[in-house]
Amino acid sequence: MHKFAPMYKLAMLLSVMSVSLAAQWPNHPAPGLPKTAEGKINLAAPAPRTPDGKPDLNGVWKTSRSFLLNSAPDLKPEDMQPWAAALYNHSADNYRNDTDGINCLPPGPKASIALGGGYPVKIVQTPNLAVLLYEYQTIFRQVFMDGRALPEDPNPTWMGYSVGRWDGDTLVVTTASYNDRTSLDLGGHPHSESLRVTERFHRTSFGHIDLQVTLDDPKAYKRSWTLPVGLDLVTDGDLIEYVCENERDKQHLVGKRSEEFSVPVNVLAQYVGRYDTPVYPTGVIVTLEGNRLMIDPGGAGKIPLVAQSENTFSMEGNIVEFQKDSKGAVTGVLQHWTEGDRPAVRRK
Amino acid sequence: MSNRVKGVGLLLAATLLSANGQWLNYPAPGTPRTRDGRPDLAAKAPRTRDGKPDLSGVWQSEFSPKGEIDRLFGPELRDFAVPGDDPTEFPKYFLNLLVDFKPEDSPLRPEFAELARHNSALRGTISPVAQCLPQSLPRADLTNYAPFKIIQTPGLIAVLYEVDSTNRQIYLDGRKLPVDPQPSWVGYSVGKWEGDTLVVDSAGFNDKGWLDVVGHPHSEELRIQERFHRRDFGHMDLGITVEDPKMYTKPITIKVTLVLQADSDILETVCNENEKDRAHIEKR
Repeated sequence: MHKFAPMYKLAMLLSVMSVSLAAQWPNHPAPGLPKTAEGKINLAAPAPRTPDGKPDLNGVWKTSRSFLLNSAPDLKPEDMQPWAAALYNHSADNYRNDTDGINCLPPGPKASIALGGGYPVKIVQTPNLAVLLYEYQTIFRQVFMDGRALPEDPNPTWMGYSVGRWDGDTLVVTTASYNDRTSLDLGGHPHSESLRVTERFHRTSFGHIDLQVTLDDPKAYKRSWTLPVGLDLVTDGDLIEYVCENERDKQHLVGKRSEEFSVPVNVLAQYVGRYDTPVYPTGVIVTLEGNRLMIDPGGAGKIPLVAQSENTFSMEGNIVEFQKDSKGAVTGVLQHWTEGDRPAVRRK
Repeated sequence: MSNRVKGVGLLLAATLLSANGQWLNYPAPGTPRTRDGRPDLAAKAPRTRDGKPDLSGVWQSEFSPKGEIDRLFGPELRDFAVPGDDPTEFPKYFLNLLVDFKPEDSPLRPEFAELARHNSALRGTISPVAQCLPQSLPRADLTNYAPFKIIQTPGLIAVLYEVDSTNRQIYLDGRKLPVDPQPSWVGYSVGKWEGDTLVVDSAGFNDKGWLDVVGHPHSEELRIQERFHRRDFGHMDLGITVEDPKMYTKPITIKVTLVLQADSDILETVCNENEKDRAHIEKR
């Protein structure tokens, strides 16, 4: 059974997910999988084609690189328009407690940028229409491939309006008509209604789509940029139901980043190290960058820890607590999640 | 406001606002047309490449005949409609799945009558849709204030619902229903062809959904069979059988007609976008 990396789930996105992971739904193997001589699934086999000769993108996919936490890794502060930078900082200062996910609202362009990271996406392709079914919120997008143009005076929507065309073997999907109420990532990069997202899907092998996502929003950013998202085929999985029915995160996202508790650097240094937990095979890694303690809770990328006391920290709203034994040696780290605590033991 | 707060209505504000979008009135390619250019709903049902009936399209349950809803329910069920809705157009089974039964013949087991009464009395506040939770089957098939879209491929049908922008999958690849399903709102659906009729069996439901507006409950033993038969280009016969031996003494079978919404599409509705009812809902 696959397990869609729980590490990508920041508090804002969650709730019922961990309950659903027990389902037996994902165990049905995908149809038509090519096999090697030894009978193993051959993900390097050529990409399949539809009866009309186009590359066949059908399948369940997850992103090979997630930009869910930060969709703008190479963006410099001066690349942001002043209003966008101000909004970004305001959101960060308030633990991003008013973002789309925390209010059970749709993900907007995050669907193109990063969904399929924590949650898979299923592509259902027909000649004139492709549909992307998202596990997250069981939401969907339609991509019209019947030659129509993007609407000229669009009605802004959460998920935008998408048209697709074939450029050789690459499906180029352009999306516009977003409203401005979602963010590009969980880090809170904002966007305007002028945002245009271009996704280039090129299935290079049976198991992989080279997906490049270009974000262009001149009202918010002085330049456009392209993210090498990539999609890997899920061979034994399917979407399971995600309903935002039990939202309990917002009440925990209180306070402000600026109210940080001051912890001496020599105390912070005691927490640096690797912690083992069955939840995250790659472990929980704590590092110190300057005076800032950083945590990577299982390969999601480094997230700054904001001190609440000498041994408790906020990880984007989730409380992280370092534990000591009677002699004062750090023995473990406890992440308090809505779904329950996640302890990890310090590696000796 | 009384505690019989609008149930269906809670969902609608976004729909009404979005209806001026450019998504509508797009002449779909492949639609047969009459001499004056209008979609010919009486034309033959289309078929897929592999010769099966093609159910793809935007569909919505037909309106109730004039006078039917008033005759059956009187003014009782008007409380959940919002301005712009005409509740007398809603399908009778959408309002009350058991409407064809005399009270003394109701298949609802007596031990669940109190639960049904409770749901009905508080439907404006405790129904799933009043809380922006999914509207499950069979209600999702019957809603006619917003359509749904069927996209049929050889091994899979995707169903896209305008109501709260959610999706459902129907597997056509020959798999069986799971033996011990994880309960969910939308359930697990498998379909097979019987001649020109697509027979879809669904199970794996949780027990939180309601069968209709008045709040007939169901258990996790719920099973639903839908029989889709595209009669002509513009009309689909849909037979629905609801079975829940834990709560109902016998299966409930209804027949409705879906009407193709030609040259149209589903819009986006997001229940949580403008949810302002919870604040008014009294805690009980």
